[in-house]
Amino acid sequence: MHAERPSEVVIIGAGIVGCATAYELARAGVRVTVVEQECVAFGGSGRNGGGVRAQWRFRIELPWAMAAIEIFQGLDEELGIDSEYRQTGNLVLAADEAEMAEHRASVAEQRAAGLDTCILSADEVYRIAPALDRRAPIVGARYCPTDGSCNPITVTYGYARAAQRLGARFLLHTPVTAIAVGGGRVQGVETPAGPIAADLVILAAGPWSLPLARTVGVELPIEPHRHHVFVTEPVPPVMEPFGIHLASGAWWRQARSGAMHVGLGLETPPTFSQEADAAWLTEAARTILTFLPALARVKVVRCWAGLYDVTPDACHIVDWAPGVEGLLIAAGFSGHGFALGPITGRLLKELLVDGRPSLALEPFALSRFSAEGFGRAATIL
Amino acid sequence: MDDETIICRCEELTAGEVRAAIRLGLSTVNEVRRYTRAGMGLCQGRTCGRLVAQLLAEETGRPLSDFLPATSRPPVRPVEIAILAGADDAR
Repeated sequence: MHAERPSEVVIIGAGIVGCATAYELARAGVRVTVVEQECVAFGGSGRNGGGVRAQWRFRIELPWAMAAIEIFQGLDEELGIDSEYRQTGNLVLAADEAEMAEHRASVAEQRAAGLDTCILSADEVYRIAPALDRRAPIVGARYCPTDGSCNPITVTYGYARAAQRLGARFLLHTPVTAIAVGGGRVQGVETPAGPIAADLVILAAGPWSLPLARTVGVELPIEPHRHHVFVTEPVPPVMEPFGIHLASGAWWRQARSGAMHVGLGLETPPTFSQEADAAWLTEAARTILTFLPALARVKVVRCWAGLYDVTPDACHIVDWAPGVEGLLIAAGFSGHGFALGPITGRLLKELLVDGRPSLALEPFALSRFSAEGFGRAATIL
Repeated sequence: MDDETIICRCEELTAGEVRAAIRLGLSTVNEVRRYTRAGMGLCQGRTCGRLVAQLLAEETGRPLSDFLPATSRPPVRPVEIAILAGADDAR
């Protein structure tokens, strides 16, 4: 990938990727306009669990996740925010020995790559998290002490505000109706408020990147999948690490306020609807009680839903659009986008301003999906 | 409302804090909720929702009817997890 330094950039989407990229580019002196159909963090960036994790990542994502965590460590100071970021540790709980065997192999590989992650026995898990039910389907876990979580809305707004202070322009409640192309080159974007000219357009609209790319004949292999979260009233400390139980699809974390955030991924058909389904609450409530029975009398305050923009290998796309010079795609983060947003912004700035990103972008090329025999070949760590 | 008036008791937010957020360019009740947490507490905005809309109308000079209430999220009122799970016979 190569590019000439752009003079006028339009970023479509004010999620974490768009806002972090706007901040990094504005800081490097590039003129940036962010165009957003709703508001900052309207999509997944404002609806995710706030997890910031390097363990249990696809092999190609690991360097990005580790670099992202370095950014997160200094982010409050850099952006002047209180993001609630804490390295509480992350527990990926295994339901059976087959799962443990996979975790052992990938922990060895991740340790070799420099990540502080380890295998815990069931006894060690219950020592770290005594609130977990002894009858729960847990035979052990992998644990990474440097993983953690934060408030994703604060972080996304933090990037947006910092970008604005550096001169970036934000056009909110302004849908892009088409990407403008002339002579094979991007010219800008069309909006109901009129056209906005640019010599470089970054498409960072999550699942909504799919219909926008189609306006210039580019087909993105992205499916929108809805995921829910519920949040409880604040309660005294339950457990410190972010918990994930893959076999049931459940995850949970306790925010600084004491509120528990609980997610449960269910297989559902693709949809662009972010409407929360109250029936989901029943399933999620049942599931969390199998792990944390002490929450039985704790009240759920609210639930909401957001969209994952899922690609066939559940890894993101960062690449130039084929056939449209000057259109850069940063989408398809497949539910991993919040934690990777800050490093994505940094790398896009390095690509566009310095001419050389510090981490390879090639593994995230769009062309990998058209390669013959493509399947779910990427390896999860 | 003066700036010291508490707008959202659940999250302990004052009118001044909400006004400052609106002056940053927030233009809907939903955005104010996300940015300031007004309406994210136990009462889910039952008290502060209208007050936030009023402040938005005042600050932007637009009619109150322009400002729709924040998206309502299930459950309607806080409910114990055991009750949601259907595992509770006692209550």
